[in-house]
Amino acid sequence: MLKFGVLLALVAPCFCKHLEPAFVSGVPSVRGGRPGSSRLLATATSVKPSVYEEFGVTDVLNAKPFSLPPLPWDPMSLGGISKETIAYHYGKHHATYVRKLNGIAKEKPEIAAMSLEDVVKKSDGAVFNNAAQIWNHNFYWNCLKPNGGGTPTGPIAQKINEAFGSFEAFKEQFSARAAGHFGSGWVWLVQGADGKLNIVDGHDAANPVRDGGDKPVMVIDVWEHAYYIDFRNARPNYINAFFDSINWDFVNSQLA
Amino acid sequence: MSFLSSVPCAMADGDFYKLPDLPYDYGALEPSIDATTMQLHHDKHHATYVKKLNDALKEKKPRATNLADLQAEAMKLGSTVRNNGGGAYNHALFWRMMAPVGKGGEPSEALQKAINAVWGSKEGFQEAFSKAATAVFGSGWAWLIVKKGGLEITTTPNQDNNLMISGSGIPILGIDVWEHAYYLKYNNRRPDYVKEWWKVVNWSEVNNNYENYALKGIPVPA
Repeated sequence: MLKFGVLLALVAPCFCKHLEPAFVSGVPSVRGGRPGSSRLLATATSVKPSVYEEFGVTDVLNAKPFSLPPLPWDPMSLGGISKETIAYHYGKHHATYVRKLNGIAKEKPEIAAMSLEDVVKKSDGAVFNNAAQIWNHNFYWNCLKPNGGGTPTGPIAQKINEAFGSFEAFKEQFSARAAGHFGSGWVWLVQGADGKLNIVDGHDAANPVRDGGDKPVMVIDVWEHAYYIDFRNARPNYINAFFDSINWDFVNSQLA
Repeated sequence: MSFLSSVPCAMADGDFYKLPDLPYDYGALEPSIDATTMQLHHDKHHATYVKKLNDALKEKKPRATNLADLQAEAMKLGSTVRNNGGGAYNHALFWRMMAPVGKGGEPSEALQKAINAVWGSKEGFQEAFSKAATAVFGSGWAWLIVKKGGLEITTTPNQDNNLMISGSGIPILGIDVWEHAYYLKYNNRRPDYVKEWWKVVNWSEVNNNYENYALKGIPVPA
């Protein structure tokens, strides 16, 4: 408990800088990982405990060694992505990955002693799949916010213009990659070691953290469970809804 | 002129393959698979695979003249043909491998004997198959295949199937575990979907796939 308190005090100010006061997000960063839980330190005062009870995840929020992070926003208020989707996506899929990884950690103490990021970097098979999916979803929820979207401002806007020519060109390319990804996976906006932005596809649970090099800056989940309830097979409509909900403050905060 | 004379009728209008109709109404597999899913799955997903395959094959000329034979070339013809050719084939079989509850019959004596040889019983086979289908991570299929005269359970990612890799077996039964196959009714509960799917397995078709095609080393036609 003391360790947690110290952790909070050390990390919270860094992550607060670019974010709304509504939540503190200790998003797993590529540089440095700490042992123990999944590092999401959000207090998320805008989300009532009753939401977590309704979703059946109160136990997983407090689980060890890996826990489900609180949502950074109230699922009632998130644009074209419905509460029902969040109830399943966060409350079932994301929560189940956490439960599964904790189940694995029970059998393998070496996993229990690692940070989530280290598990992602060093594991394979089912261990990797569950850990990476936790990491990916942790990151994804932070990329969204109620009344988000629009044209970005700040460093990300400049970087987008440098890499893609314009925001419109970026949106077109990113959307095409997201629509065109075959099967399950994620489409990432990353910042390379040279500081430039790039778009990368990851299949199933694959993410840039695994290989290092690229720093994740934004992600869209294109597993069908992310959009089937709200958009059926029409993934492009989901991608538009995603763009209408992007948390550009968070994206800015992820730039090196 | 000699080229035209070797082109089968299906290519005359430019399309390699025509989307087959469902063998039954959208609601025929209720309650195991809901009507809305069947409609979306066939009219949108399957139809899109067929369209994209036909478009791709206007550029690339395969040696195969039918969809079943195309599978063996799919990996060489690029990812669009692989993904959509696989999708078109897998789904063409999938609809026929299902029948309304109570109409699917049972494994034939020959098939049951082959099942027992590997899994001891029909229940043993179902348990092993269900486990494999549930364990697929991401999008894919679980299959019962015939390989070197014997039965095996395999899983494939995305829209791949065993016909794509020479010698790796001939599928006679398969379950689609892409989320679009079950999400509207079952959400994340894939094990429930798999359990209900057994009620609509069309064993008559599987028997036919086994005896008239796979045992003879021939892929099941699409």
